[in-house]
Amino acid sequence: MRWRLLAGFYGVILSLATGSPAFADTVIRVGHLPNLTHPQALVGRATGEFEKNAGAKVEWTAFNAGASAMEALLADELDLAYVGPSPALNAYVRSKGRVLRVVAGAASGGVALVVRKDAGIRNPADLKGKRVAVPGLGNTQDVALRSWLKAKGLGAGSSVQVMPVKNPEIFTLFQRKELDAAWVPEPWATRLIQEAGGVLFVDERDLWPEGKFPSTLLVARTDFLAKNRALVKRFVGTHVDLTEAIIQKPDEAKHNINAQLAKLMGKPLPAAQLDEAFTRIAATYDPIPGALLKAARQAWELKYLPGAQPPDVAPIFDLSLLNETLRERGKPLVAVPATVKR
Amino acid sequence: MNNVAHQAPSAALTAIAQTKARKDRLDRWRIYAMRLAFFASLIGLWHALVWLEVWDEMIFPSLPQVTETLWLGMSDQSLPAAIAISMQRLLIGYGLALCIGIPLGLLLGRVRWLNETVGMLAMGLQALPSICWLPLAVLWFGLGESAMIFVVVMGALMALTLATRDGVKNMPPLYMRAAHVLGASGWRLYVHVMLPATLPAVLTGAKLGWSFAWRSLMAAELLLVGVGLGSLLERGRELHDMSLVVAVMVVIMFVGLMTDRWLFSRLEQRFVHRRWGTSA
Repeated sequence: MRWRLLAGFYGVILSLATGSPAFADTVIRVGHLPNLTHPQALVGRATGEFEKNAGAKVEWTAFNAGASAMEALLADELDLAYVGPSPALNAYVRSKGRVLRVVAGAASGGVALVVRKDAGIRNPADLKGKRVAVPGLGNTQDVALRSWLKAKGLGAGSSVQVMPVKNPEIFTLFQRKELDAAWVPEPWATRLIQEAGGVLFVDERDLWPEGKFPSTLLVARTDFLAKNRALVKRFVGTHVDLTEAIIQKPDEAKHNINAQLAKLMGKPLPAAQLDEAFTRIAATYDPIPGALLKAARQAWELKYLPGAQPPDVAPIFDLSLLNETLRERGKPLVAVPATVKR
Repeated sequence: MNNVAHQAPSAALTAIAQTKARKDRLDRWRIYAMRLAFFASLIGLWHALVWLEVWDEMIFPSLPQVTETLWLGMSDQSLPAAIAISMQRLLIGYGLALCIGIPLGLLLGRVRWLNETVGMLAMGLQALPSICWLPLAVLWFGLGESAMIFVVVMGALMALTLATRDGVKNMPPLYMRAAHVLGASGWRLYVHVMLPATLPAVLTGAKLGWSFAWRSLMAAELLLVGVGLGSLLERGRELHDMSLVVAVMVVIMFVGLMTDRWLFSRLEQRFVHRRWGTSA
């Protein structure tokens, strides 16, 4: 009797561990962050647009950090994810290129270095001895900040303290003057400026050619993509339509985004914050491959990506579904890079 | 004649002692062999699971990967640095807990109304995992060392205090009476009578407090990023480097085992067993 109980117990554990979702064909599990740099996710989640067009149930999960979203993807708990380039690259390179593909871009811009008004920071050198926060170790903002610091001669070994802290905590600690600066995505940059006595110090758009760099990508788990191409294509199609809608009717998009943020964060953003934040973000389905490859190189230089050589990350892109969609819509295609320039 | 009568049993005793020593040695070897076989089969199982590709290499790192990570960590000083900073936090926090906990425990054991009030609070706090203090500690002490040390202190303090208190309460009343009769009072009573008499209990508490402190510190370092073993483990997590996660786990286990084996066993041997004649 006891043995049978024990066997039953382990059976349950085992089936939980191997976990085959009952309706894998009709459910898409999508992750995103509750940030304004994930606009398609927020709008789509609010309006149910993806369910309508993709013909499948969409299970949304909001994560606090891109690394957690990638952890879920690796654990087979997610099929698609809106995520920053660095967590996507980390997961891609660590899995030796197996686990995921970038199927589209989501947003460009919407990231800024904000400094505390009374921290006495006038130029980059003033950051010496100061505490600068980023939302996660090895995440997109962390890589951007550390690369920028290095370019300003404040790299490893300088007295600038880079602290990975979650966005909501950055806000609290910034208010309490525990932090002097933060490299954060929207709406946190604007919240720090409008609510916590922060000043815009660097708009990350100024650091990239034409002001364009991927702050969010849409990635798919490789085996899910291989098995459900039609489904993913419909999802990408909706994603492209939503991107266009956000660009053409920003007010409607803002309304939907705020409704979703209110659900996720407990309260909506004040209109003034939403408006200011939106001036820095551009929704785009272009993953801006050139900038992504550069970000990969930066991450490798910071030793976030392993290997003696910079990893070849060009195969991370699978833009065929995006380009099919764009061709059908009569829009210019997105070029896929052949290889990495070493 | 008399001599022989004396020698015979002593020779027999020697023979018995020799057989016992041989048996002990054999036992020890058997234990070593058993351990070796156990760990070898554990490693074998690990290898087999990796080889059979039950799990992806990325979520279940292989032994060579972990060894390589350990080696890299040692050679670029990141592991020794992390161990040093963690030990430093632990020693400061644990030292503070010792300084507060033992006197507090002695007092609680002696002063009844204090035990009814503070003792009750200590029992309550004992049930609270000290990592629960972290959100408050960060706001009270900032993001630096102090918050983490506070969590360590709160982790070890209650175990120490309560163990010391119980040691005092379970002390044979005769000791106190004898001490009074012999004229000990005031601080002498505490230092020369109560402290030595409660030493076994205090040491048990100290051991418990140490492991609580160690766990609290690891939890705090996992959540509060910076440097240290816990933070290194979290780094492995954030960068999806599971070989780093496993390597740090091995180091944490090793450090814990070493402190228990070397530090506490020796202290026990030296101060408790020898003093109280309970050594084997």
